[in-house]
Amino acid sequence: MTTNVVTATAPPGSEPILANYQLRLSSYEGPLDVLLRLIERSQLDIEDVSLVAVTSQFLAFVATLDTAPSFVIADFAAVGGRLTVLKSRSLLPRPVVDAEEPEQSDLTHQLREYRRIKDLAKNLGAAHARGLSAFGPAAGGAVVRPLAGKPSRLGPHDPSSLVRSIRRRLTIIPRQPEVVRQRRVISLRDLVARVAEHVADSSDARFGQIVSGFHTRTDVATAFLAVLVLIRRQSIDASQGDLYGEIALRPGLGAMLTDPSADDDAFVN
Amino acid sequence: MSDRTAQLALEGAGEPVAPEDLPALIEALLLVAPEPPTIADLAEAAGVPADQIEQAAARLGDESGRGLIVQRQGDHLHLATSPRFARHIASFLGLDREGKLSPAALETLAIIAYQQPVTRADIDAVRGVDSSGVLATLHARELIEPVSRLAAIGNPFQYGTTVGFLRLFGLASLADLPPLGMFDGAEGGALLDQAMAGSTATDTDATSHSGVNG
Repeated sequence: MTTNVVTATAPPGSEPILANYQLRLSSYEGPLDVLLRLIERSQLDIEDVSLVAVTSQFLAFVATLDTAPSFVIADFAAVGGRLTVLKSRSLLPRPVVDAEEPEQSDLTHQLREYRRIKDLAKNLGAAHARGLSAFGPAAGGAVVRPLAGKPSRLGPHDPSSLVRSIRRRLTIIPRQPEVVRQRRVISLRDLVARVAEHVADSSDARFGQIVSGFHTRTDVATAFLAVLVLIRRQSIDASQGDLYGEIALRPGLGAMLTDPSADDDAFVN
Repeated sequence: MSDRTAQLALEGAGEPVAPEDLPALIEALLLVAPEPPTIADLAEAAGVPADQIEQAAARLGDESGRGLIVQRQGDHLHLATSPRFARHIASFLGLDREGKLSPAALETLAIIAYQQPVTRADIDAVRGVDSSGVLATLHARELIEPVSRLAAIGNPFQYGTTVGFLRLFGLASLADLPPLGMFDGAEGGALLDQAMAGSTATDTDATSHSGVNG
């Protein structure tokens, strides 16, 4: 497990960092693994103080991951963030509290847990390498004639067990990522332009006409918002005869109807 | 199931067997049963209470001069060869050594073995990385399987080890794994060696380590 742990070049004035990501791929199992090795290499115990001591080394290592897949970087960045919080806490003066149990971070706890699992995994690996396995019966037992009329326990090779077994094998094949078709979203900016155009072109523009082809509440609400934006700009005027009645739209005093891109409403973007 | 067990025991079904004959009867029943029977199945076939079956199975495992061990997975008993003869048997069957398990696979297997049943999220939390690929590999190698679903949002699968896991490591039951707290460095390795060398006893409480959580 300690093979390929590489101490790389030490940048001037900094602690030595670990090797680059290409070496990591074959050597490390993730951010906790890297952190654990940094601590062990520094011959420290797993404590918050030790974590603070190796924070800059860890962050230097994360900085070498720029070509790694984003999900790998995300795992490392998450741990890097937690380390930074720990370090900042240790640097900033804090009010003196009653000296109770020493505060221990989640990360320290997680690291201890991980080290135990790693030790256990190491021992399982050694046990596996010794090959002291047990073997079970390959197939059914003796061939006997089942009692007449009674279902037999014999015959383990039934189709359902075969199907189960094939299914299990198939789970190892990576699946194609599911492609989710997303409905086209009509933006507020588009709608502002569309409403403005509609009102300019039509002598009897009504809100109901604009939203007649819309199927979702969001689209209708966005259209309404577009109308409000245009009223605010004084591009259009709106009137409503009755409560819940049709909203009539007509060109307003502003003369910017045909140039929706010139809007100064920050939130339309 | 239990009816059929009784049928297999033929004429003597239901008649209590003398205690000294119980281990031999269990061995015989395990040999012919095409599917691993439960302790209840065996108790019915032998005409004795279940706890006597458990004790007898443990006695069977204690006899060091034998080539067989009894493995316990949940309530089921399995007959298997003694790990002492693994090399001879592999050579007799013409089996290649299986591929080495990667460190990631061993870590994941260790978490599942000691903390089962566990969800993928539990495993990811301990390892700090995504474990879905490793889980698929272990599942395909029949070392783990989904055993239940967690009653929480999304009802995620909970994984446990299989009898294939016990076989691979030559363990009689999960109870043969050394307690998690004792697993530090070389001492832990020695304990596992000990467990494997003496994995002849069928523990009467195979689930005693379920949920061991550091």
